[in-house]
Amino acid sequence: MQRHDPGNSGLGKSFLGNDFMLFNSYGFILGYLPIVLGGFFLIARNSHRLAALWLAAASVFFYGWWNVKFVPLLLASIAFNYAIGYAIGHARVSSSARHLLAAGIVADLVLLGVFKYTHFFIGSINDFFGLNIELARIVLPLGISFFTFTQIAYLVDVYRGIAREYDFIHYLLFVTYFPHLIAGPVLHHKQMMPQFASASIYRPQYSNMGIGLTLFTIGLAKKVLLADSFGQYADPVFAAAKDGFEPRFIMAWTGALAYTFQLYFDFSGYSDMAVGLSRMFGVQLPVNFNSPYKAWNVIEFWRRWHMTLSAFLRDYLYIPLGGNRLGPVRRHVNLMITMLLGGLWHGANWTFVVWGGLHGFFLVSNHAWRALRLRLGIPLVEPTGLGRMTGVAITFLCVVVAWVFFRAESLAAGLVIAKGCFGLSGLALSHRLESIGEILRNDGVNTGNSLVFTGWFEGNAALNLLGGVKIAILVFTGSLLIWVFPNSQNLVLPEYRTARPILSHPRFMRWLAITTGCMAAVALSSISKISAFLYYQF
Amino acid sequence: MSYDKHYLLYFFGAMAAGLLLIFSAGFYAEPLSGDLTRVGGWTERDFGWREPLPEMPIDANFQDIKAAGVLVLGDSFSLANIWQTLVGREWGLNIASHNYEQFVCIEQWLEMLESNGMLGGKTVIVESLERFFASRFGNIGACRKSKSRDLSVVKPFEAFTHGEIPTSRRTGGEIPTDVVYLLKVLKNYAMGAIRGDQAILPGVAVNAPLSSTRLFSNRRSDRILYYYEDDAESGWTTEQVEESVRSIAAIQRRIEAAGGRFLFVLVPNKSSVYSDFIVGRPDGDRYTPIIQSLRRGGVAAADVLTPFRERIEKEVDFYLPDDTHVSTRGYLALGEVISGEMRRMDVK
Repeated sequence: MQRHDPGNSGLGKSFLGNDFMLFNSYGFILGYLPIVLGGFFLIARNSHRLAALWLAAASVFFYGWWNVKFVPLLLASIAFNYAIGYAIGHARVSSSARHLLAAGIVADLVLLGVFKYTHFFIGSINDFFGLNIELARIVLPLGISFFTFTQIAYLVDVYRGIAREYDFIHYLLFVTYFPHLIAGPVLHHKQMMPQFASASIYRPQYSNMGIGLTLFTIGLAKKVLLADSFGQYADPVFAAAKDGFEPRFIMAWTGALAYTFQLYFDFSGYSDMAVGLSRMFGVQLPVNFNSPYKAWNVIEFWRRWHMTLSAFLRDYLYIPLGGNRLGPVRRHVNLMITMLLGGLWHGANWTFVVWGGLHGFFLVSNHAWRALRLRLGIPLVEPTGLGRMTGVAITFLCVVVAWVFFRAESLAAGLVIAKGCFGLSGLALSHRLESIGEILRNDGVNTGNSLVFTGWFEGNAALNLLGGVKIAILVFTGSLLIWVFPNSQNLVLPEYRTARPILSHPRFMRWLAITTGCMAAVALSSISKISAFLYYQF
Repeated sequence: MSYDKHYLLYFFGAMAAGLLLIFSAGFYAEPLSGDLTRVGGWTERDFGWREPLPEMPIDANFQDIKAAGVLVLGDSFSLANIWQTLVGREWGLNIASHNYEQFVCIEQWLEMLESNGMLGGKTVIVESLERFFASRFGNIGACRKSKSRDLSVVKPFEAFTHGEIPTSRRTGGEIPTDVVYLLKVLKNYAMGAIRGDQAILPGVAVNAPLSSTRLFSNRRSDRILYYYEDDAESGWTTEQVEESVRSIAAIQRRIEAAGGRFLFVLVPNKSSVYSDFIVGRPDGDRYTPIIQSLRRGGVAAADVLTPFRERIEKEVDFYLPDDTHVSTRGYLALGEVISGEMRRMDVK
């Protein structure tokens, strides 16, 4: 009765269909990657340009496998932006360049708006005014936010004189490069073009292969062994909330924490895999994730979470809005606008707006707190010891509450989980603790509906089946990895390891090779139920 | 040493050794088939059945609710459409089945049928597994009104008939390579070795000793697997059970008021059916009092436990040894019980 029950294992699934091109699928790992990697270095022996073209073509194929319908859209967007960029770079009059830049950005935003936000706006208008305007279903092209933002940054950089190279094959590769195309990191022209032009990437190197395989393996293990396991606990809670069920304290926290850990390991795993994959080709992608839950305040959190998107929003939205140059009030308004739009960037839903708004509020509070400290003459030094731990704990709690809305299907669903987390829906305990209720009632305490003994997971079959021990072990393991151990780039990337010479000791390297080799075996054999990365949908 | 040739040799060497170990363990455990072996970390080598099972006909689930003679709401015991096939053929009726998962709650299913005038003249069967009795029916009023107002017709599910119904042979086709599963197997072996043959080994799937080895055909037929949630039934309060009975009686009244006939089928847990043979299982027959309570409340409820208990000694692998569901022998019996109840109800 295999299909009716959770938990499956074994090889041989998903060699067909879109799952084929997930980084954590057998099709990608055992088929696509070796062919593209081998082909790239073989072709590069004769021609670097042809090798770059091969990689670009393979990247377009990678994209097309998901939905071939959108390949023309992607290519048209690339051709348009390349042409606009070329025209901006060769404009003789600065006003023409400015007009071209404005036209390019507007066109990109219109494209994004049509595909990503039309339904949201029409739906919101319908809800607000009680109308019933119908619209044909528009399918969101995968990665449209990433390739649009990458190209907007390109146009701005050309206008600012930062981007100067106009090789079309390299530009095509820069936009479509498969390790980043679907879920980031957001790339800058100036980071990538010199690498594509460099002869060193066209020669296979043991060091790049070792770094790439190690990072990719660590990312794969995070995704397959941790993120997906946490997801099994998060999904039933959010599904129940969507159906109107009000989880009580423990179940609400189970869902909120499970999603907080799931998203961390999912995105961290994806980022490691993207950087690792690219490193196999000799190309260095920017680090996108630097232990964000170690942040001691929300400002620091945003320097560590989705770093390339944060930098994009700072450089191309917050600073052009005036940044902090127009006084504290404008700075806070600019921060709120940036975070609200950053929230909306993640998805066309009010839940994302609320998430962005919450983070805007946290950032504004954080800046106000800093200003108050300065006014009181307390220096802004990085805290240590207990002060730092307190800061990390408060930041983490704020982030968890915001993730609840980020994950929830609707504001109502997010609110019932948040209500449960704050203890406003009461507490449910195991049946085995019923005697506590008896004692309280005998003592005249009216527990009412606030203390019930319907089980830790309140009769939720999916959660009961998974059990409480597994989530406790998962949270313990996850906490160690998040707060105690060095993160993957500090462990693997030579440029980050210099601060800790022990990490480059031959014995450590041997241990690293054997451990990640074993990890690869475990992760590869555990890819049973392929699941997409969470950031693929943004 | 840095990331050089030796590094890659160590990496790939460790990976190859790891994969070899995992695949060897997987081959030993044999391809997974049952849900209890999978979630509990027990091997098919020990709990996969070895006697052939009878082949069974399986008809498609009838899709036109209005033209159906029998409407069913059921769980996984109805999903394969096996007992419906038997009942449908015997009575010459078309049976349209829904699954609980297709609706937010039972209330929504009832509203859909009522508001579309689909109940008149129909036999309506609600099937549920014993272990879900209190959670499924104890609080059906909690279904949000807003969610219940979606009155669009939900089509009956597609019957699950593509080679996964266990008939003569086991159906698992994939070598288990999930390390978490294999570690569970290892832990269970160690636990069994330490605690001895007569110990009840806990877990998501409880592994308990049996007083007879003739009930199942698997290698370890001296033991039985069942869901740990079966044991949690001892935590049900009388009030929970009575509330569930009241809910089901209310469902029956609504169906009868709309011109339909109602039958409630409570499928007993595997551990309830075999309880007389499970060594050390606390005596706690929850099933019979529930049926008695339902009947006292005027509910047309089928007693499935009594005929099942009568047959388990006569028919090996009546329930699948590796799974929580009945085998095809069990489905044949379930079909007979439901047909018999319909005969008593004088369904035409």
